[in-house]
Amino acid sequence: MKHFITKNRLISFAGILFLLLVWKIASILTGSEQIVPSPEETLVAIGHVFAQTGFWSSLGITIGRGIAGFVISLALALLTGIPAGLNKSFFLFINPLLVTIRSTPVISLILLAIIWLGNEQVPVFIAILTMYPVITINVIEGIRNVDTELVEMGEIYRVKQSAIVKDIYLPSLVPFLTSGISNALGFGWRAIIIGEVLSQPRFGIGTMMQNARIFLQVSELIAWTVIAIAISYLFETIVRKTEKAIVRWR
Amino acid sequence: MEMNPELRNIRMTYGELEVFRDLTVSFLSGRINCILGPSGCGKTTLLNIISGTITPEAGDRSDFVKKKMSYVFQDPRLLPWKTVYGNMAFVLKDRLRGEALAARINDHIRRVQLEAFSNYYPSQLSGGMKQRVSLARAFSFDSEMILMDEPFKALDLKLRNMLTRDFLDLWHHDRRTVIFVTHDVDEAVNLGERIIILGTPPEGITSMLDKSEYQDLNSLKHSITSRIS
Repeated sequence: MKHFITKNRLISFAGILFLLLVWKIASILTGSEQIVPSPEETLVAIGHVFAQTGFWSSLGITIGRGIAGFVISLALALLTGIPAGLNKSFFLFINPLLVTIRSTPVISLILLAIIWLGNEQVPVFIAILTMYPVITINVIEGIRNVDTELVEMGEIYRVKQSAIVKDIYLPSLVPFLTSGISNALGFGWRAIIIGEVLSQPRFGIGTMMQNARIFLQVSELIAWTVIAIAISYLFETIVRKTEKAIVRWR
Repeated sequence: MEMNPELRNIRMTYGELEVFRDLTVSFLSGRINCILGPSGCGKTTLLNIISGTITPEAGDRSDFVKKKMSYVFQDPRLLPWKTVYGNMAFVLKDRLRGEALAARINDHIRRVQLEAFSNYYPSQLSGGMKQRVSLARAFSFDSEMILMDEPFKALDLKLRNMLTRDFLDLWHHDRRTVIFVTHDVDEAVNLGERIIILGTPPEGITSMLDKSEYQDLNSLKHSITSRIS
């Protein structure tokens, strides 16, 4: 087992090395730091970005927006997804809304949000619109997959409805919820940053990226991108670890 | 002595299939009653009518309406995310608290010899152990009646004998009314004080035999086999 883990790690490491190599070759071929900076130049740029004024505010505020958008989406998803999973009529009622939000291009939502809302609210609004339907659909799926034989057992033993929800419905929801959350966060982070680029709130990773683009600081733009990837990876890991801690029973 | 509970004039159909046309049956209170019949004869349906999980089209089940029941299913139906202890607590915690709850659970876990496994999750237990938890859960619950739907069907002969012993030990403690569904003549002869034979639908009950009316188990078994074939 341990042997496999080391072997898998080695393969992943080789994959990362390969990516860096392709990157390096591309930077040599273009021959211009202005167009494709090399990995080492980007590393230096990340150092500079860290030292910039407004770095921590931008990072913190973007993460804050992500968390706020996520918490609101999760609450809405549970509030609407659970009844939609239990009740066909409610599902039919809410499904057009879910389909519409999911099929609308993110860019349309952003442009409309810029018109309707203040610059500061656009990224969170976009985060909610991208994450909410994804989590909701998983919640609905999870509720539909609840083992009805367990529910029947609870009813025969006259267990209170609240306990059936807490001890049967919610635990069966966990795997669906975590997979929904991890998908949603993947879309969510990207949408928040696009929202920030276009709506230009005072702080935010997207704002910093847009500034770097205006001044043609490509290495800085890539540095911010690397930071955005790191945040996304960090949250993905948190979700996975949380799921593992909850589903000890497997 | 408590009255023998009865189902009267039950009619039940599933779509085109008429399962029972006019079924009336009474069960011995405080005894083990076995419902015997081939698969597809409506044994589980009858049990579900008794438990109230399904409602018949016509008939009277008023003797069962207010009764608290325990149910031992064919598969153990344990919550995979709860330990053995947690599974027992799930059905008991609305009525018992604190030390009384712990004492009730531990007592029954001990009676099915699982005290060392109290903190195990179902995925860590064998099939026989899981069914023991299901037995312990049924007997720990303050029910007036225990319904059992071929609970040992999936087990091999040795395990089945062990679990039958555990079941009888638990039952001798308070002698609740048990309705035990089986397709196995030997199991019915061994356990049942009353044996109710179901025919193919919509026939319903073809015979009802009380062990007390037979001199020994062999003559009872002989009587049953002659009626089935």
